[in-house]
Amino acid sequence: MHLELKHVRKTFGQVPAIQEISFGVGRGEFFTLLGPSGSGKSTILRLIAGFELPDAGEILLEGKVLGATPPYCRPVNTVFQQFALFPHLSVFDNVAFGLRMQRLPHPEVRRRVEEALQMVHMVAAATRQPHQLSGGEQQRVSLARALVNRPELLLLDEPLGSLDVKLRHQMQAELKTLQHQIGITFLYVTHDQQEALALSDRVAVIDRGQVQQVGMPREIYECPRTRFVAEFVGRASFLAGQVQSTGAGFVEVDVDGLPRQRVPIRDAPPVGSQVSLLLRPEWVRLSTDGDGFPGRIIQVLYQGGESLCTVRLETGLEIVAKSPFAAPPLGGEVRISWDPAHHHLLLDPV
Amino acid sequence: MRRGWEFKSSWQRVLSFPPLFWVSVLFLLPLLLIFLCSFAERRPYGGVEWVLTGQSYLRLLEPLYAGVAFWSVGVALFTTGITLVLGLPVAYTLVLLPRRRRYLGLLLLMIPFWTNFLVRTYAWMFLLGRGGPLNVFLEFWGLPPLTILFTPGAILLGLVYSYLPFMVLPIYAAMERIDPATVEAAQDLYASPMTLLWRVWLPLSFSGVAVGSVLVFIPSVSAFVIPDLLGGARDLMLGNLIQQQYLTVRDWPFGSALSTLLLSLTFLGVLICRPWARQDWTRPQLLTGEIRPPWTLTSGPLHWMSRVITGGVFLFLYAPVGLLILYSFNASRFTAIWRGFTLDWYVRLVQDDAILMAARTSLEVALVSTVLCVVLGTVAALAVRGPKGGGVILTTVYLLVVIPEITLAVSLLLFFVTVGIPLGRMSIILAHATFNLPLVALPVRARLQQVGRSVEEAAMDLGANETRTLRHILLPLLRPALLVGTLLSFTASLDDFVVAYFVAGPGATTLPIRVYSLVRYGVTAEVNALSALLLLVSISLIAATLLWQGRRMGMEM
Repeated sequence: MHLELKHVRKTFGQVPAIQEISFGVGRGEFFTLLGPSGSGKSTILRLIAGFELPDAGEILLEGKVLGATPPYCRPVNTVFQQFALFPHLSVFDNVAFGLRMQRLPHPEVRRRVEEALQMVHMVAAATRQPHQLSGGEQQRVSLARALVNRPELLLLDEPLGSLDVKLRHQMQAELKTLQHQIGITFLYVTHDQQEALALSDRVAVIDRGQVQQVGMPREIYECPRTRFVAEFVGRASFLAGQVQSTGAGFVEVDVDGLPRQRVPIRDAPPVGSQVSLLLRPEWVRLSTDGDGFPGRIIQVLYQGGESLCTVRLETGLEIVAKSPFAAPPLGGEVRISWDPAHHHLLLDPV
Repeated sequence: MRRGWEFKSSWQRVLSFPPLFWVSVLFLLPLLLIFLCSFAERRPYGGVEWVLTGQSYLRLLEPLYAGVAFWSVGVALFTTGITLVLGLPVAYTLVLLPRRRRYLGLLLLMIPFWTNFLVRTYAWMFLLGRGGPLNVFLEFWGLPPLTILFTPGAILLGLVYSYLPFMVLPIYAAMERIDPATVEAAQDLYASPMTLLWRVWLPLSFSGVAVGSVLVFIPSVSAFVIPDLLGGARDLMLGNLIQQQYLTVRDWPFGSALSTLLLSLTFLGVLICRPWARQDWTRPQLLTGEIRPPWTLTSGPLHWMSRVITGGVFLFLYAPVGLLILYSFNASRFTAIWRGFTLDWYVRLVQDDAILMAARTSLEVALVSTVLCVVLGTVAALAVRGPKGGGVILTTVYLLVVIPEITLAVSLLLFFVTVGIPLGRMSIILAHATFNLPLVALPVRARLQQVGRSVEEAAMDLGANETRTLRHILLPLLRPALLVGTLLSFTASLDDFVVAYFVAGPGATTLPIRVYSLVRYGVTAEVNALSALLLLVSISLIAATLLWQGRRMGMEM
C-alpha cells in the first residue's frame, strides 16, 4: 500500500470528527472519499496533509509512519477547496512557490513552472494575478501549483466544488486524463456521487466519521453494504422483507404482497431476520402488458432521453423505475418486473 | 471544524506572551489598582493610605455627588437619543446611495471622527462665543444674541457633534448587511414602504443601533473636555469630578471610587445592549460590487425626508470646522468680524517656542508609540488565533475599545505614580501604545480573517515553514492593514488629549495639552490658526488612509 491509515481517530473539542478509520490506497490509484458534508472526509485529508494531528492511530506513507511531521516536510501536496491561491503573487510565482521553498536553482524553477502551466493549458496567463482569473482558471493554477512539486500523493479537497456544472464536467475529464498521464496517486474528496463514480478506481464512502464501504464504483453502486451507502449513491427503492429460507448462495425472502423472492447472496443471514431488498431504477422493467406486478404511474421526472417513474403497486408499495420512453402517461396502468438475479439484499431492515 | 494546525515552532507558541504581558501590566493591573484604591484612604496632603475603608463610596451617596452622577447619565442618555434620531436617517440615506457616492459619504463621516477632538470642541466655543460668527451674524440682522455657550444646551450640542459618527457607522454597517432579497420578499408579501421600514428594515439594523448606543453612551457619560469647555464651570459631569479629584483636590481614593462608578456604568450599558448587539443576521455571503437597492426605497417622501436630514447633518458636521479654518485667516484678533485676509497668526505660531517644543514632543511621542503599537498589535492579532491566551487577548482588546478614556487615563496615572515611573514623555508613550493597541490589532485581525487560513496552509503544504510563511505570505498580505493601523495609531496619538493630560506630568507638554491651556483663556486668532493647522494635518492623514484603503477594497480578493 502506498498510503495507509490505521485506526485513526480525531476529536475536535467534544465532537468526534473521525471515529475510527482505516483504509489503504495503492500506488497510482485514483481513490475517492465520498460522503455528505460534515462526514469527516475533509478532516481525513487534513490529517494526511499534516494540518491536524490524529488523536490516535497511525498514518503511513510508503510504509513510514508520518507521526508529527509538519506539513512542509511531507511529500504530499494539496489542491484546496477554494483554491487558496496567494492573492499577492502572479500565476507564475504561485506555481513557483513550492520549488522556491525547496531552493531549486532559477533555471530549473522556470523550466518546471512552464511545464506545469503547459500541462494545465495556462501558459498564457503566467503573468496575471489570481483575482484576474475565472474560477476554472484558478482551479487549473492551483492544480499546477501542487503538481509542479511532483508529489508522491496528491490530495484534492472538493476541487471542483465551486465550479458550475458544465465546467465541472469538463474538468472531471481533464483530471482523469491528467492522472492517467502522470500516474501519481490521487486522493480525492467529494460529496458528489456522480463525480466519485465517474473518476475513481476505488471509492470509500464515509459517514459520521466512519468508513461505510470501500470498493470499486460498480461494487459501491450495485452491491452497497448498508442502507446509507445505497441511498447516498444513486436512486433506489427498498422493499422490506423477512428471510424465509436459505440455500447455497441464495436466500428466499418474503416481501409484503409480492411472491417470494430469491436473492443471490454469499453469506446468508439467519432465517427470520428482517432485511430489505434494493432495486436500482434501471433494474426495473416497465411494460404496458405481459408479466409483472400491476401498478400505476404516480410521478414522472423527465431526464432527457429517459424518465424516472414512480410506480405505486396495488399493495401500496412505491418503486422507482427508469423508462426509456420520454413521457410515459401519468396515471397510466403499467406492469413492472425485474430480473431476480438483479436485486440486492441489504441486511438492515427498511 | 477549522482549528488550525497543531505544529507550532517555538516562536508561534510564545506569540501571545508579549501582548499578554503588556496588557496585564499596563491595562489590567492599573484597573485593579483603581479598584483597590477606591477602598483606600486619602493622606492629608494627597497620596494614598492603603487601608480598607468604604468612605469614598459613602461620599458618592451625598446629594452633591449623586446628583452629578444622575445628571451625567441623563445627559448621556439624551445624547444617545438625539444621535439615534439623527443617525438612523443618515445611515439609511448613505446605504441606499450608489457605490462611489456611498464611499464618499462614509469618508466624509469618518474624517471628523478622526480629527482632533479638542479642536472640534473648540470650534463650537468659537462659533457660539459672544464675538463669534453666529452672534455677529445675528447682530447684523438685528436679532438678539444667542447665549447658549456655557449652558447644558451647549454640552449636548458638543456631545452630539462629537459622537454622532459613533452612532451612524455601526447602524450603517448593519444596514449594509441586510440582504436586499428580504426587502423584496417583504414587498412581495404586501408590505407598504412604511411597514417595510418598521417591520423589516429597522429590526434588521437593530444590532447596529445597540452597538451605536453603547459607543455613544460611554464617551458621553464620561465626557470631561466638552462640559469643561462648552459648559463652563457650572454643570459638572462625572468626568470633571474625576479630573478635579485627581489633579486639583488630590483625593485619589474618591477619584478612584468615581472611576469605578463610571466603569460600572459602562459595563451596565454594554450588558444592556449586548443581547441586541449580538443578534446579527448577516447575509450568508457578503455580496461584493454594486448592490442595487429596491426602487421603492429610493423614492417617496420618507426617502426625501431622510436625505434632507442627512444633508443637514453633514452641514452640522463641517460648518464649525470650516468656519474655524476660514477665520484663522481673519485679520481681526478677537471678533468674528471679517477685517481682511492675513497669514499673521500662522507666522506667529511658527515663532512661538512653546508651541514648537510641544509639537516636537507630540511628534516624538507619536512616532515611538506607533512603532511599539504596530509591533505589539500585529503580534497580538496573530496570537489571537492561537490556542493559548488568544481569547484573553481579544477580550482585552475589545475592553480597550469600550473603556472610558478618562478611566484609562487615571488608572495609568495611579499606576505610574505607584510603581515609580516618572511622568513625562515615557509615560505618555507607554499609555498611547496601550490605548492605541486596538487600532492596529483589529484591522490586522480583520485582514487575517479575510485572507483566511487556507492560504497559510497552502504555503506550508508547498514546503514553507512557519518563518518563511510569515515572511513570504503573511506579511505581504497584511501590508494594507499594517499601513492603516500605523496611520490610525499615529493620528490618534497626535490627537490625544485626555490620556496625555493626566499622565504627562509637568515635564512633557504635547500639542493638544498646549492647545487646551490656550483655549481655556478663551478664543484668540492664534488658537484659531493652531487649530486649523492641527485639523488640516489630521484630515489629510486620515483622508489619505481612508482613500487608499477604499481604493484597495475593490482590488484583491
